[in-house]
Amino acid sequence: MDCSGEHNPSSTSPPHTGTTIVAVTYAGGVVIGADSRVSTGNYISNRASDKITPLTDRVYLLRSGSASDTQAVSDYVRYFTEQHESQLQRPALVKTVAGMIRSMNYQYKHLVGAMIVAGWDAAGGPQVYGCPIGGTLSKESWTTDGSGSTYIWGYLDEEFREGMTRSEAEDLVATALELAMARDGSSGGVVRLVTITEKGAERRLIKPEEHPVLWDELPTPLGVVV
Amino acid sequence: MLVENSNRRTFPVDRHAGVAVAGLAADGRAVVDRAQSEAQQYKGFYGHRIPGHVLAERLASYVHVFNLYWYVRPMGVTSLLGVYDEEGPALYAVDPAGTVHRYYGTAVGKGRQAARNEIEKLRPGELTVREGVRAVAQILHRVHDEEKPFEAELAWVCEESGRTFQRVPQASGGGGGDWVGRWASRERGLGSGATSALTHAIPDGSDGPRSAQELVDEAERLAKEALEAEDM
Repeated sequence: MDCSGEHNPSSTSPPHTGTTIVAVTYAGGVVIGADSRVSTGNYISNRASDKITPLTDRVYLLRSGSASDTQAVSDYVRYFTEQHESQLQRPALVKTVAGMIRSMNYQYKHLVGAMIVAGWDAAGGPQVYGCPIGGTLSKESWTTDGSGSTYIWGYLDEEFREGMTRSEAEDLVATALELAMARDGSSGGVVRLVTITEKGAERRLIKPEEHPVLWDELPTPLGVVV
Repeated sequence: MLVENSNRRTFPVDRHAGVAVAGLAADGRAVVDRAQSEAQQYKGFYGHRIPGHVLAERLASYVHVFNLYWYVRPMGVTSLLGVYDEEGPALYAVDPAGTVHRYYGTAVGKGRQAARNEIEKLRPGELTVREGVRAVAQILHRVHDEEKPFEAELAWVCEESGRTFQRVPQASGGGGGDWVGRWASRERGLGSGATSALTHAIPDGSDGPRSAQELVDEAERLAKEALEAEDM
């Protein structure tokens, strides 16, 4: 018996990137990561979505909140940035791009886009900017957002250090995402990582079978026939 | 009866840039307003100050539009734009056709030929900003129209001014206006700004000073091309 009062959630809820997104600076660049779950009500409409969107060669956007709102915003900002770089004749600054995302969040208050802009530029090196709902902009050494982020603030507070190596930073982000995905119903699927440095951006995919088993997730016992 | 310094020819556009105009003063005002508006809008949208080459091209496009439609007349001014941005100091000139060029030194207005001849004798790679200002002031005095009351207005943007566009404070007598000197003087001030940035001690991250000879050779070639283009 359905007590929730919601009889047909799929047709009434727009796609929701429940999400966990994390961005962390390290000595030579930034490591950014996201889960891959998109849910429409209780149905997972996409279990392998890509929430990491390139805006320029070295500036990426992490999207959480409304899938459609964040896609629309990222399309606009990519368009503006492309024109900007064409006129400027050099790569855009991370803070310029972040400012444009923030500006859209502020001007169009109905948008539900909790986003993170991260990247590398020659003037400021590795940078991470939080662009939450409402239209604020905050420059940070690291940040996280999305529904799954609530479970990992403490973990990141404890484990983050300035000037990590690349592999330390990648492990930190991957583990943070895996912890969030273990607890948040709206986050799951695969872990996607992108590392951005002076040389450019590199992608990595960590499939579920490659996640480390967390203490409360017991592997299937051998010999059990399901 | 004219109040001294009331007939301004140099205008700040943003902290790091300024414009001097030669020609119809009212048209000059319109160009300056547009430049200020472009600079302010750019900063509001992109979060950093408008780069020199972008502002110059925006101004050129704007002036050009007045050549396209029958219901307006072309702008009766040549504008000299001095900027000090992330890539250093630069000087641009936008003419009524909407053409824009970048210069080490130039002059516009009534006595520009004589002033340009004088400028060509200078070596921009070897002048400091202060020497440049002095040189420009001398050129102004040499080429100005004797029959009009003379007023020289100099402005600069350089390391010494904190990369801010400002008028060089100076004592000069007389009332009324004389175009030539201002433009020429403004140019030299900026041209020297370029060299003083190169020859003075500069912080890490810069490219370091180019050889004075390279600068001079290029300056001479560009000045000659500018004169040939005029002759065509």
